[in-house]
Amino acid sequence: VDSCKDISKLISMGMDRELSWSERVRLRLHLLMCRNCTEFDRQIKAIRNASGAFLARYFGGGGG
Amino acid sequence: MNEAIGPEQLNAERKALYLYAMVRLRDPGLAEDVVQETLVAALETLSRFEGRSSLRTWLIAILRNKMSDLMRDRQRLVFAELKDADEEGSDLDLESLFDGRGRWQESRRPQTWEDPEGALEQQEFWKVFQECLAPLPPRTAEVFTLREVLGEPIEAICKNLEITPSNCSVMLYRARMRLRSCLEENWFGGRPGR
Repeated sequence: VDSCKDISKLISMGMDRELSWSERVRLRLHLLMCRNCTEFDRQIKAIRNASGAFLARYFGGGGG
Repeated sequence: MNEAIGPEQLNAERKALYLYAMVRLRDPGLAEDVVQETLVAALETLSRFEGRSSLRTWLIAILRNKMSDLMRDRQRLVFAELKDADEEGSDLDLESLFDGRGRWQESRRPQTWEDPEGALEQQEFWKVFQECLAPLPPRTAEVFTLREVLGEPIEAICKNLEITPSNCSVMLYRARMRLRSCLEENWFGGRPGR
């Protein structure tokens, strides 16, 4: 059985490459049962979203 | 090949390169210079760009070369850290996030982040974001910037930095874990009203 630590690594890897079928199953199974990792998954995606916006902000200041 | 690059695209790439150089060199003057050199070199050799990678990936490879030259020229204390040096030594804080069975420690559990979209509109958030990025080891910060900020594919990053995919994954994992903790502590961590 995967620990939260294993799953956090899987979530991170899933941001960089397509996960295999079995990895996706493991991930979904764990997320169904684990609130903490579900939050973690959301946060990692929020970080991607923010990072993508960072470039424009870096030069654009607050005005957008 | 010889496809023309429009001024708008050039400007967008210049900004991306500048941010990347800043993350790596942390010196606006140097970053500006090295980006100029990169663009000049790129425009001179544009005919060699074959479109096998994206324009950005190609430019980043040139920029990395220019930065290496710069570091070789100025082998000073500031740049000593630019090698792979002890970026391994920082796993302790990651280990402490989990208990012996790999579960989140009670006190370090990921919290619900309220309105992460709204944060992007706030000047103060970007300050925190940069402050959280700054303490990452240089090479880790570099990989993170290439992947998440500039959106480079992982294959291109590995190739450019001459590291293995698994090494790359580990660095990205560490960067994300640290940034996550830092943002949670300094921004999202149950601070209503911000």
